[in-house]
Amino acid sequence: MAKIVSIHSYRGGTGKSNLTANLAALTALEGKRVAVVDTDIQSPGIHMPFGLSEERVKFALNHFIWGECPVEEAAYDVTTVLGRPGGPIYLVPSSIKVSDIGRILKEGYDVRLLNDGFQALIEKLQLDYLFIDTHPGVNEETLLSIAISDALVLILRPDQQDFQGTAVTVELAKKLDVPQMMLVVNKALPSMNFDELRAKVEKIYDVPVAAILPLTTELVQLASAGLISLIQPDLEASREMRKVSARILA
Amino acid sequence: MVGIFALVVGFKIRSQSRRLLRQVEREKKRADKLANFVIPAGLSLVTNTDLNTLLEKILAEGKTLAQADGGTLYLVTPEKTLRFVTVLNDSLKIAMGGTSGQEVSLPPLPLYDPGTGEPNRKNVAVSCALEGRAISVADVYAEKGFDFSGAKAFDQKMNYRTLSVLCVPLKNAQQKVIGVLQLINAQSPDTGEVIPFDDHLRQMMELLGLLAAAALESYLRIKTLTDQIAELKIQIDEAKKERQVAEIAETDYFKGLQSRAREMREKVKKQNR
Repeated sequence: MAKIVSIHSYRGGTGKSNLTANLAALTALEGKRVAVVDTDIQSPGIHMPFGLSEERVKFALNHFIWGECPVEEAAYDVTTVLGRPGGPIYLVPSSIKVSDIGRILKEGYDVRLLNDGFQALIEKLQLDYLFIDTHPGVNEETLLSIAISDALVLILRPDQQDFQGTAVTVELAKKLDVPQMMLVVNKALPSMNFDELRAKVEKIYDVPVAAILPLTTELVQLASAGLISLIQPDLEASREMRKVSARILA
Repeated sequence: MVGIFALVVGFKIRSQSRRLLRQVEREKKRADKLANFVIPAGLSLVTNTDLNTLLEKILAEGKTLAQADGGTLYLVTPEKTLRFVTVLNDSLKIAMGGTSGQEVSLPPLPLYDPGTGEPNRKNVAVSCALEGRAISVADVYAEKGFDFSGAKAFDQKMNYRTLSVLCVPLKNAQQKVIGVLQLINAQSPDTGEVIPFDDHLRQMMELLGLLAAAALESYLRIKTLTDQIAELKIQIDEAKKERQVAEIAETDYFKGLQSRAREMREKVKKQNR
């Protein structure tokens, strides 16, 4: 049985795609067969840390939704990003072509197709783990991803708007009986007391905080150009990401 | 250039030449000071991460630059007073506020007379804050415009002689005065005797005041931000949350998802048995 892991945030700019990419890589390093689906069709971004070039992408998730290809044809092997032995990583990107994004926005799509896609992908690629990089906010597509997930990772920044929005998502996820839920606080200022932050957040949501990622110059400099947990494994952020992947693998 | 200029003058009027030469040398020294001292001093202020260190450094840099014996840094408070934050005096070996660990015990100076509400222009530092301009007093004992009774009482108590005073405003980018840097007793670089603060020094201190204000403002801005976050007030508007959750959870779509998810998990459970 493959484990489906959704990574979600209430607002954009939380570092969701980056975390997803790192978690997928760390999982593959354990020898697992992993795929990542970018369901953030309106603002795709996860192709960046995996170094998947636009030229390589013939079919994207969009084309599967439009019935133009089977889902596995939109999956690209990006295992080389690991730079060392590990399980294979496949990436199903969303199209970054403006016209394709526009079409999705205009026409919408039947979100149930996504579930079919996920199941087909798990079967065809014999996956151990499927990571879903969701669209920020709560809509039909994100709710579907959450509903079918075995684990949900909610990423938030330590600010008022994120705290409030995440509370809504946590409630909905509880109603959907997601078996495993965890929070990741990103962009925490190093001057903050992380233990206190963790305790307060856990108390408010009654959900474990798997990691607190400090806002560091290294992360900012790297932006989305690579996978920090592989490039600089000794950074605090990388250590924290390994804690999240350990929970997912458990 | 300086050399040639001095030579030409020297040939013509020997008696004036030495004086002029000294003046030119002084000007050059000042220009060097601006480039080598004021700007680096301003930059060094920006890198401070501790408020007390920063405040003390503003005063210390000003004092060194002006070769002043003493000085005070005041901050404008929301209550419209000038609060003493750091006081230094070399010859009296006084260090209060800043990193000294010794509190400044002096009461704040009101910007406006508490009785009449009139601007308190009698005090030189307050005047500087109110008018947003530098004020130089050559000899406080000969001064008629400002009330120096405080300084004179201090002199008597400490067996000191306050002579020259320079006050420069710490003005932020919006031209608002956020503090005053006051220096006491400029000293001649050659003889060490107490002299008035001259015009060039005033200009340089005004520049330092601008840099200090910028450093202070940026420090306070970051501090406010980190304090807000460090306080970690995590407040969830429960009513709003319940409303938002209900709006979604009561839709047919959500209910359908809920039951399908339940079925799916039941199936998995059975398979695993």
